[in-house]
Amino acid sequence: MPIYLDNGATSYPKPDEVCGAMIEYMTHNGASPGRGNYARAMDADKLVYETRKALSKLLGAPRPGQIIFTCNATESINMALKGYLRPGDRVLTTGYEHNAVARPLKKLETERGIRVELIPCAPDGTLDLSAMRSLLDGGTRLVAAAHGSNVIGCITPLGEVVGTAHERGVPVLADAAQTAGAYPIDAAALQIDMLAFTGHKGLLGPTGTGGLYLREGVVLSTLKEGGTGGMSLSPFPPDDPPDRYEAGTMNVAGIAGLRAAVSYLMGVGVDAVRRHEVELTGILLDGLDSVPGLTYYGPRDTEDRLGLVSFNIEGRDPHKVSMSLDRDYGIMVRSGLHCAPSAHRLLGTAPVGAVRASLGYFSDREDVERLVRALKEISSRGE
Amino acid sequence: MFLQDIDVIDVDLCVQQPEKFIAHTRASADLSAVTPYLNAMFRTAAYNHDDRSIRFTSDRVEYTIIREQVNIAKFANRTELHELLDWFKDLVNDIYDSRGEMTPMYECRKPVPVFFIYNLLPKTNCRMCGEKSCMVFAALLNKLEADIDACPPLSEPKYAENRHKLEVAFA
Repeated sequence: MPIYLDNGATSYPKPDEVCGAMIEYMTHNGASPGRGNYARAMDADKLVYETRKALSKLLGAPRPGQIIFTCNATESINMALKGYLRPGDRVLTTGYEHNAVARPLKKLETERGIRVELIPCAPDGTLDLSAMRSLLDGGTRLVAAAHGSNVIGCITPLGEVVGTAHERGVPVLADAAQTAGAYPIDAAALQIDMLAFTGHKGLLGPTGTGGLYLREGVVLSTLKEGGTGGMSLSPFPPDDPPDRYEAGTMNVAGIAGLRAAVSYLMGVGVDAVRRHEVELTGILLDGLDSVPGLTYYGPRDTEDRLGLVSFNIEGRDPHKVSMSLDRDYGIMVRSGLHCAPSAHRLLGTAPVGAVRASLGYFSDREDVERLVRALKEISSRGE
Repeated sequence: MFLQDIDVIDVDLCVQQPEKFIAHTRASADLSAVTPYLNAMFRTAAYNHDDRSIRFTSDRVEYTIIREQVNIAKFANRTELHELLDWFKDLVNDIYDSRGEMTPMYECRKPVPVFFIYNLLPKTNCRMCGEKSCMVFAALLNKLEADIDACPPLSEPKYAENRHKLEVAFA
């Protein structure tokens, strides 16, 4: 039986209800939400609304209308950064960002002359918040930070980051790609200004789904313009969210699946998912400690990290290690830079990268133990 | 639960405010049982005891209810419509559950005349209320779509007597 340990890229398997909801929509509805007055279009409207409502409960958004649908966290982050930042703005970010944040910032550096500065942090991802405070000068207009690193596994203390930024009136964009669904988030309680998430990782939904939470009062310039289903005479997008940001027919089949996924997750409870992953991560780290020549990265305390662990075996090419795990042991993990070269620079593992095993809600102790046994064998035999 | 669901029948552009929408919806229960309580609750309400229908405004959104039929006007988009329907459903169920402790109202309030209101306003057209003139503001007050607190000059001591008269008229 193959073992899937690449949940940091996309979660697998999905709850049966997810596929069922997508097939149900495709088979028995198929209509565009917001675009017709027949009963099935109204049903599609309601389906999309119920998904927003479920997500708003799960993520602590005060109102469903504050959840904007996108096709993934990358689109959400692009929407936030390109819709908010103006020429000359200064942005603080971390040294472990995914390219979903780093590349749009680089483009804005080139095209709008924004300035990007890194909040100093230790190799295990611990941010220096006092240094961050001193970097928050008058020109800083945004702090953009991953809630959890997809390489190091560290968890950003969002409450403290937001508190520090808000002392100077600077809003915060949080990239929750690795945490939404896997780690409790209360956007309103944490006073997060913008929160980007994807549907296909911890939320257990289909690929092609994601969203952006916007705190009340945050208004962005639009990333795309087009039909929104109403007010068609106006040459401009509507003022009110979420329609303002959702031009074009949305991925309703995906949203139907996401609704089922969030419903499943709420039945289980994000706290229960987190406890499960913390327990398995502890077993994994203990096992990795016993593999000769293996170094893993990030915090040792399982409460301080996500259920993903990057590692290298001394003298071994991480790519070959992952290939051996797949071909010889049927274990799927991801090697390389994980679209986050800065995190690997922080760890000293660039440009080759590392092997990453990422757990999910459906991973179990047997999966972890088989991985550890396989790594011991790989480590003990020659290259 | 008294009111289980509200189905949206259709959504159209609002004639009064073309940048807003109106929706016709159907409730899963006859709401005549709660309209006298809504009448007591909303001072904006226009209630007709013959058919127990009611129209009231809350946060600039207009609700018209006749038995199972609920029309909602002046909302921005369909997401807001569903948020409003959730709010309205909770409100109706809360009223139904606690109607033993509430006092219904079976009479329709008479609107305060526009010129009566206008004559008590500062008539400076200062636009601090967000409207173009005191007359527009008076018309909105008459329709109970604005609040006298939106007029900052009315809080000045020299208008205290006028403000008191308006408060009595709208009480």
